Formats: sequence, structure tokens, C-alpha cells
Amino acid sequence: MQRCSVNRIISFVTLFAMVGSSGCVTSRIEQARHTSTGLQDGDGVVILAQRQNVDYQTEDGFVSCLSNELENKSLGITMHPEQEFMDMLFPWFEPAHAPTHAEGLRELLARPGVAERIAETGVRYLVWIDGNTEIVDGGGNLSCTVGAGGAGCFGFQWWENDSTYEAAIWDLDTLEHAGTISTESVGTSYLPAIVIPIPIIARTKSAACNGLARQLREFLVATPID
Amino acid sequence: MNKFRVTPFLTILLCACSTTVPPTDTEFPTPLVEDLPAAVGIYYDDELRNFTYNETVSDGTSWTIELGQSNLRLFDRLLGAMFDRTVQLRSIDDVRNDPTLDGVIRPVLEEYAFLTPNELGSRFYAVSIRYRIYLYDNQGNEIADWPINAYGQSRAAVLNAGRMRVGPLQDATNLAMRDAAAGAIILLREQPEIMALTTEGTADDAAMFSE
Repeated sequence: MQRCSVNRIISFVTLFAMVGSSGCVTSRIEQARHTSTGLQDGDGVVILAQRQNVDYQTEDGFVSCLSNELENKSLGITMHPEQEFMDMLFPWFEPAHAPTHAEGLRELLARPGVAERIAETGVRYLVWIDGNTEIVDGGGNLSCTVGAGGAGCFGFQWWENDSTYEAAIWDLDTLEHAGTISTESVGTSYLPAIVIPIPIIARTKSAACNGLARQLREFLVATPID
Repeated sequence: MNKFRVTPFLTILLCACSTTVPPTDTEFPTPLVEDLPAAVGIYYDDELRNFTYNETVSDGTSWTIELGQSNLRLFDRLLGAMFDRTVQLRSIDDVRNDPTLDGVIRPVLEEYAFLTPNELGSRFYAVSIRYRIYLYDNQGNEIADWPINAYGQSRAAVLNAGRMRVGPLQDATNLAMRDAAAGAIILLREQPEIMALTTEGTADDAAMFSE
């Protein structure tokens, strides 16, 4: 009977950990549009991560999340893989040599073969992603022990994640900086443990990815205003 | 009494004394540049061919990074795309035996350094490489040289121990070499000494820079 009730408690705790393991996330998105946009058949989009920063790097996982979320055939959004694009245009989009403003982009496309190669890829919009997710605060104490009679943890830990990303959209047809979208998602994760740790994770990176993808989708498919 | 903490136990288990980072078979992309109408000899000395870097870092781990094969793959791809024709030479003086060559290029790896996440106080491995590219005329006289500084970094694995450490350092090294290739191709194409190889009467023009 006792073994049965222990199993029930473990099942309940596991179920709670699986179902109720998401913490609250607060997100904010801002957009600045400089030019009109729109997608036609065959227009592709590539997401490139800014890698000039020494202190941090935009996570590869965030770029692939954004790419997956943004891909939408019915809206005509075809994603081009980042690495393939960089390889095809090597060395012009390498971190230390990529154009950082529209004027630099115009100069780059005037180089022999570059505009033709970009046309080959079918990429119309280039989205530069900059930012990362970091732990900005935290506290608590948690310790785990293992003994002959079993193992267990006791304590409480918390940490606050801040996911801040900015997407700069460049139109390779007009050679203009079409606009910028920025997002910030903040959330606190908790890890209480009484024998079994139950993580309650605030998925800020996922929230930032989903929010940015949704906004980018609207931005890109918007009907030209002129 | 028989209970013990998990963390020290795991730390002892995961601690490694030496780690070797073998060369990868990563292919460097072909540069999107027009090749220069010149034929150059390429000379790789034994140091570049067999370059191995050894260091014992602050946590006591000794690292061995093998870069020889990657160096050759990098410069074969880079210089092959940059010039109309390239020929590997056994020595710089061999250029005198081939009148079709306009000059010789010799890449040298001057410095390789890396920092672990512990040393950096971050979650990244960082690698810096400095190559120097020497240019010789078609008589084997040194004309010019240019330093190429490059940098690469890669995020450490969540469990940064044992074999899990090799991949990120390998990635950071490859990125630094790729950065070097990009820097070299952009820099070298702007150099008058390199452009002089491509004009009529290349030997005379190139010799002008050596005087």
C-alpha cells in the first residue's frame, strides 16, 4: 500500500513537471519601417547572424528557430540556409567583412559576380540578426545528495533570462535598409526541489523567436504601399 | 557517513589530462572573386605543413592542436581561386626553373592562440591566428609581406568536459582559418605588388618593388 502511494506521488510530481513547467514571459516587439516590402514568386529570404561581437554571439539555435518559424510556402516565404548563402558568397558576408550599411551593400553588389551570384540564390531579403539570451539575475541554493538509500535534492533556485534580439531587413532588389524589428522577452525560471527538482522554465528565447518570426512575416509580405 | 556530494565526484570523473584536436576535413568555400591573370608558385615549408600547437592551460589540461593539413587545404583553395595558375614548389629557388611563373607566395603561420571558456570567463572558446604572406619575384627575391590576423569563436558544449571540448575548439579554429582566408583574399587583391604580377613585363614590375 505504501509503495503504491509513493508511486502515485512520483507520477503526480512528474506529470506536474511536464505540464506545468513553463514560467511567465513578458515580451515586447518594436518595428521601424523605412521602405515598402512585398514578396513575389521565387523571392527568398536568408537570415544571417551578426558575429562581429566578441562578448556574445547570436545562438545558432535562435537563427534556425527563426528560419523554421518564418518559412511559409503559402505566403511565398522561402528560406535560404545561412551557411550555404555565406559559402556561395565567400568572403563577402564573413563576419569581419560583411557590409554594415546600405552604402557598403551597394559597393559589394558592384563587384564582379556578386549580384549575379545573389540572383542565383533567389534571395531578395537579407535579415541580419543581432542579440542573444543571457541570465541577468538569479539566486537561491540547491543541493543534491546520493546515498545507499537513494538520491534526492533539496532547495530552491531562480534565475531571470533576458532575450534581446534585433532584425535588420535589407532589400537586395532596391539595395535599401527596409526596416528594423527588435524584440525583448524577459522571464524568471524557478527550480524548487523537495527530493525531486521541478523546473518551471521561462522560455524567453522561444518567445522571442516566435514573436520576431510573426512580426517579420507580416513585415515581409506586406503589400507595397506605393 | 557513506553519503557524498555529487558535484566533486562528477568533476573527478570528467576531468581530462590531455586533449588532442585533430585536423578536420572541413572544406573551405571557393572565393567568389575573379582570378588574377598570373601564374604563381606556392611554397609551403615544413613548419606550415606539420604545424602542431601545444599548450597546457590554467586548469592543467594539455592541448594539442594539429593544423598542418588544414593549412594546406586553406591556401590551396584560396590561392587556387585567386590566380589563373598555381604550381607547388619544393623550394623558393625553384621559381627560376619555371619561366612561366610570375612570382612565388609563401604563407607562414606565425602565431596560434586560444582561450578556454574558463580563461575567458564566458561560454566560448576563442581562437586567434596570425599568418604572414610573403611574396617573391620570379627570381626568388622577397618583394613584400603582409600579416593576416584572424579570429574565431565557438560556444562550448553544455557539458564542457572530455571529448565534448574538442568540437567547439575545432569549430573556433576552423572559423579563425576561414576568417584568415577571407581577410587574405580581400587584402592581397588590393596590393600593388600582387597586381604588378598580372601586368605585362611582370618580372620588371615586381623587381621594382624589391629594390
